[in-house]
Amino acid sequence: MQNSLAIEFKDLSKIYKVGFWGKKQTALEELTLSVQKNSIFGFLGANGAGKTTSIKILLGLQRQDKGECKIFGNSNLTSEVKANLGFLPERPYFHDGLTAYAFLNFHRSLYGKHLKKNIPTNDELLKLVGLSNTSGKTIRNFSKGMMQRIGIAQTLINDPELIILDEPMSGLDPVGRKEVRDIILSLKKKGKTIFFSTHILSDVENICDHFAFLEKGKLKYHGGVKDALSKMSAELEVIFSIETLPSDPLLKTAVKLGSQWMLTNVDPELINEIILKIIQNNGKIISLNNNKSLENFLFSEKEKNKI
Amino acid sequence: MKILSFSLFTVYEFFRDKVFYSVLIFSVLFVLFAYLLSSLTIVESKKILLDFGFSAISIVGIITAIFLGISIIGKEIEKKIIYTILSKPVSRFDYLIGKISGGIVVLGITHIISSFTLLLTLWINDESISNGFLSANILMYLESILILLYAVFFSTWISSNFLSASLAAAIFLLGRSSSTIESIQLRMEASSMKSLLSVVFYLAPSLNRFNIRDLVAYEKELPPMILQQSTIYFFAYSMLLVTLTILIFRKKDFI
Repeated sequence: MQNSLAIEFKDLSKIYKVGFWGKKQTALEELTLSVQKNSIFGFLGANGAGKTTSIKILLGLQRQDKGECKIFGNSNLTSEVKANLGFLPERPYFHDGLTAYAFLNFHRSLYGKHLKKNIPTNDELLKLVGLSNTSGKTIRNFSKGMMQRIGIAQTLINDPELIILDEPMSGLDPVGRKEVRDIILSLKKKGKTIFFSTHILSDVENICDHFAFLEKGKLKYHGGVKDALSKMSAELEVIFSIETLPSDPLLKTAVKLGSQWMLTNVDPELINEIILKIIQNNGKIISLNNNKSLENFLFSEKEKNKI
Repeated sequence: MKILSFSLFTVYEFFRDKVFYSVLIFSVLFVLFAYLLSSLTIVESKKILLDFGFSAISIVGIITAIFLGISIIGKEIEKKIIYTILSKPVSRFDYLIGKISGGIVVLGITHIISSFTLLLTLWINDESISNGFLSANILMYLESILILLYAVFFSTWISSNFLSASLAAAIFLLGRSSSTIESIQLRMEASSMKSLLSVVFYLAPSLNRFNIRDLVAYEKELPPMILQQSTIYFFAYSMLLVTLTILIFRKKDFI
């Protein structure tokens, strides 16, 4: 049977010794999760949750104290396995005296006999990441966003099946983040598996099929993004401004927020009536949001002590 | 093939670095200073020229070795450049050997440039080339390679590049003082200090084996087989050091 999993972590544990006296600090505690092929997987967690440690162990840059991890069913990280994956570290830094072309050529040379046929040319890679017009510029003169994009380009040199990105959106402006998101989505369309770590919930919500939430080295949640959102109620939140709040039963639960008012847990059946009431009383709708967000999901799970 | 890639890339990177040009300018200035000094003296101008010239080549070689040794791997670890490299189909062995061999080539090129500058100064001064000129240069080159290997060794397991450089410089000073350390410990009575000194004496490279500069400058007779014996010592010592570096690097956790 063909393995449908791109990545598997099984009971992965790692303890660091920190400080002069080698005080033990748990970085990962029995992490078990799997990533389906041809999916976008968001690896969520605050800084220090263990995301980078898991990725480093997966890539052989660190050794685990316990457990194992597999890439495409292989627990040995052979050259063949490595030839089929691309990796972008967090806050990447590259040989800055090189041009984008020389940089890609150097990384291409590292594949040796494992270089696949019909892989993208440097021009195609640079076009894909939006760096076509930077051929003469050295990496030293690249902006943060450009550095991130050339980093993504080097992950795609050998047209890998699995792309691992450690905090690819960190430090980018909203435009840069959208560009990286678009690249990730275009890679999924080509049948690739993308595994990326982040601490930004909206990035996971917008593009991921599945996600895992890690806290202090422990896996707190692992599942589909759609499944998680479907567990949330359809209740709405209305923020509005009004000179005098009318004594109407529909608006009596409104809470004052500075010069504005907020109604939470609003039944969708009543929303039209509520909006009409606000407008009839010379009020103004500021925003209308639903509760279906990963942030609310994770908070509600936490409140229920499920995670 | 990948070893060659790393090796060539190390050479390419170094020649793009400003440090290389600083080293080069320092080397030329030092030899020119020797030329100026020798022209002020009436007698023994050649000895002064060779004395200063050899010192310049040696100093430039050692500084370049320490700088290269900590930067070729230490800098790539510190800046996490190594993560993208080792996640490709590259073994840690290929990476390390490629980097070290690139460093050895760079050192060779800087030695050739500074030796050539000295030769040119001798020629301008209308002086003949002394016997042993080539041997002295080869031995200085081998000495600087040993210091390079030490700097690489330290940078693979010490996170501070400054500390790695300081330790490599300390090894150089200990190595140059090995005969002094030996004579002190031989004259000492049995004590923990004597034991410590004998450990230092046996572990530190005996760099005096690579120093025939004074003998060549003052046209004295060279010990027989000095080049061959020192070369064998160099290969044995460097093999051990590289093996130890490989063993540490293969087990290294990149935190």
